[in-house]
Amino acid sequence: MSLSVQDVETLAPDQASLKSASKLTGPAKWPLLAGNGESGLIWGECQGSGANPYRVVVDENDRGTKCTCPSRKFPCKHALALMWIRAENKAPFSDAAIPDWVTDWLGRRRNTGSAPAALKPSAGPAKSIAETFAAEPEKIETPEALARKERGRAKRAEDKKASLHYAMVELEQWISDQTRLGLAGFLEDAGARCRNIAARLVDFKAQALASRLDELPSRLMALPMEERTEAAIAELGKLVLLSRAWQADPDDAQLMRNVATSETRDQVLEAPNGRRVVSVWEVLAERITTRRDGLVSHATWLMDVQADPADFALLLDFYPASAGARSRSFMPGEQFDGTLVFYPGAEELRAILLDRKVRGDPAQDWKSSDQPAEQDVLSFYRSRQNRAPWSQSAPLLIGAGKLAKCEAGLDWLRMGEVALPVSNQVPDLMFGIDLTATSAIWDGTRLDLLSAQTSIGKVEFVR
Amino acid sequence: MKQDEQDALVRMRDCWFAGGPAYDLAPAPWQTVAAAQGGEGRETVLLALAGQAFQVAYRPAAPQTFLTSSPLPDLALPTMPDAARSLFRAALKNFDTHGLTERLLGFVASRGFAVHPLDWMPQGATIDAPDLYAPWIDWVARRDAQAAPTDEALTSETWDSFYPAARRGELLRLRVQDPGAARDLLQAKAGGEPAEVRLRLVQILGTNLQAEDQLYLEGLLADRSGKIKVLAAQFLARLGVSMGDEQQKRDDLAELADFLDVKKSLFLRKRSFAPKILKTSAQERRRAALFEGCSLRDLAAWFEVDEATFVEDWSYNNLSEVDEMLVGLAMRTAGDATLRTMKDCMVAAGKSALLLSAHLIPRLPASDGFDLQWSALKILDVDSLDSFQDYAPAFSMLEADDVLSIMMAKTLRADIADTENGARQWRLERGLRLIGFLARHEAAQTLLDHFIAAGLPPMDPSLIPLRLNAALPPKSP
Repeated sequence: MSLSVQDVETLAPDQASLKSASKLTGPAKWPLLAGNGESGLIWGECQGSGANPYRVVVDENDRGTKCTCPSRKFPCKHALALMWIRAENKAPFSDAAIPDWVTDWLGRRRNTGSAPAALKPSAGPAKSIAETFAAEPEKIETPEALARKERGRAKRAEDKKASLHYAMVELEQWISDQTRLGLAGFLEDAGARCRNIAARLVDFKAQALASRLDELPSRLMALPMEERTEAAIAELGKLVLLSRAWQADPDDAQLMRNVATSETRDQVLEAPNGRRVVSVWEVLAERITTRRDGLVSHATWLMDVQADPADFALLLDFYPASAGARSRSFMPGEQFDGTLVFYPGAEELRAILLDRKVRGDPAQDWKSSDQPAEQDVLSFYRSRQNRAPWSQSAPLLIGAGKLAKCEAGLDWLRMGEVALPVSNQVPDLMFGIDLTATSAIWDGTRLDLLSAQTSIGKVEFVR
Repeated sequence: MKQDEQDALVRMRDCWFAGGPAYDLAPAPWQTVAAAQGGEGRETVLLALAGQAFQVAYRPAAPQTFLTSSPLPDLALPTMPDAARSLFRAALKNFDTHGLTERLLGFVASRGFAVHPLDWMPQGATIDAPDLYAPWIDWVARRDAQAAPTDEALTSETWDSFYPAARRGELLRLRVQDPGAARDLLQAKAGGEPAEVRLRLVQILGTNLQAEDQLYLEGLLADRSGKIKVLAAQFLARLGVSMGDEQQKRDDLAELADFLDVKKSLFLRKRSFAPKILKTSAQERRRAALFEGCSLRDLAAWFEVDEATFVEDWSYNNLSEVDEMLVGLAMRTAGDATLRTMKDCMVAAGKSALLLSAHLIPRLPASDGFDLQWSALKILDVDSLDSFQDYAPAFSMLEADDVLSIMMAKTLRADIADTENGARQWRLERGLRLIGFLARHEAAQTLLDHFIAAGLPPMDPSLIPLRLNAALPPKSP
């Protein structure tokens, strides 16, 4: 049953959704548009304002939709845009086999098996696609108004800088108090103490620092008792380094990102010193976690499979936990041709996906998979620490190895003579599998395994 | 890092743990760096240096010994194609919910493939899996063992080199090829195994059971395990050997005979046996207990007929619960020929007897089992075929036209059209779960097209077994 523009109008929850959807109907916003004629399904991936693309599927038989975006509107603007593109043939849909993520959705979907019901228009005022094209009155600003705006912007920036300066002074004083009074007491009362200083930092507009301190107690508590003191020293020391680095160069974008807020997508794309990499990227793993400040962090780790030594990228989005559970944006192991724009700065890990094309070729093997196991696996971590010593962790590509348990029950990744402890819940099966290469994040004490190339194919690890 | 710096670092850590300035404990070069700062600033600089030293210069010390795990063994069949894996996972969710995982694994194996270990692995030392997975079952059970699976033939000398599941598979093969050698091996080695393992080993005697097994089975009547004693007695009963207290047995048979009716047809000069309708549930329980405790041969002999005649002359479909008791009795104690006779009688009787006949399948040859299933499929509907779900003597045997001619296919088509029926989805899933694997590979796609044309949405979950069937290539000749 083919879609019509009237269907899109009828299904739209309100006029604003139609208006937003109209801005997403350009093919450039959709790296992937595909359909399966036999099943009546169409799907696509829409590059929204976040780093991770949204996955959208529409069942043309009954107009059922699903999107991975956190919108509370149903259908969301992405689903409406996909239907709109289909209805007006604005872009070609390639005929493809149904991917796993669509199959998963179909499996979870409550299927009444009933014939498609007649579309019911949602309650509220009538909506019209024609209205979305109505020209909005153009705002004309006078030179005086523009100058006033510029002065206001400069003043806000100065005020923020001054406020952040107070935040750094207060933070260092607080850290000094913890060592003076004893880390034994800090470790016992870390939750309350970190919450208090985090609240003060929020008052001073240092949101990123506040979040980092909010997460500190749970990171410490996840470690065995005997490791907590050293981990606390390491993390408090890194906060001092970050504070000093920011005070030395308060205009540095990377430091501002670590202290207060990140640049917008447009700012990153316009930055003159942002690195752009066009290559074949593989999705290593996704980590979707709810933070103590009520935000959900959605991190997607990518690796450039053509680079040697390995090059990594992180797509990072935050959204409120109240928006509900977020689905995956990618399938682990998936490879695509894409352009990534990295956030400026010495860390150069966080990136934005600029464009993406699904690859038809067989997946490429990892280039560095034949590196000798005895090689110093932590060299990438050390060099990254030299560039950005305040950073907490770094991704690594490790050569051939095998997982093993020690008598205390802890899991380790062994590479020849070298062994590093692992923080993941490793399935028993993996202890009998040879790992030809493993991607992981090292935080100085534990490996968080992302994925591995093994004798039984690619394997994704969960936390 | 130098040793004196490491020592200083430990002292600074301990100082901060207790509380207080650590400047005086720091290595001299660090003091120089920190001295540029005044007051508390010195401590924070030292904290930054110490933190980096802990995180970059050190890493957790690896233990001296690790618990080694042997490599996951290869299976005799290749892993299924990647393209079929997502369908297998979807099917597994559904089949597992209904306790039919073994059926799904059996179908995949019948096509010449093993599942991917990330999609399914035996849980613990589970034994409800095709023999193909014996190496994995043993690996899960003894993952920490150093020994590798052996390639040697199973003999009393190599007995201990085999893990339990692999050993059982080898023994089963030997029992088919050389029943006497398998029995001798059991006699020599089974006694040393734990009761649960011993029971699984003795069950192998059920394959090619023969008179020469009698002596060993009589010996097992004195086994420490009650379950093995019962099993040995059942095998002996199948061989026609009567065990136990004769007087007690006669009393029990007399009592059981009182619960049965013997009718004589004057016209046909034929005798028939039928269950009496009893007055109380206590009597019904007693009858069930008596069926449990006797052998079919003894019961038939009480009525002065042989066991094949008794099952031929049984009047099926009078009381299905008593028919079920008789099927149980035959499965435990009747010979193979009697079971085949019983199958023919139950197919002829139809109705509930035909349904109950499914329980005979495990002891019937594959061709008889398939005939039985085919007979049932031709006339029974989806609601009646539950008992056949557990047994799959022959996968991939039917052409699309065969499948479409069975009763269930007709009612499923009616279900697809009946969108108002609340039980529709449940019936569709159950029906297609049963017939999805019976069709040949080529027929599966034809059936998919047929049901979709009849109105089932192409991605309906009930079609997953058929889609998996179509996605798995046929077994190479």
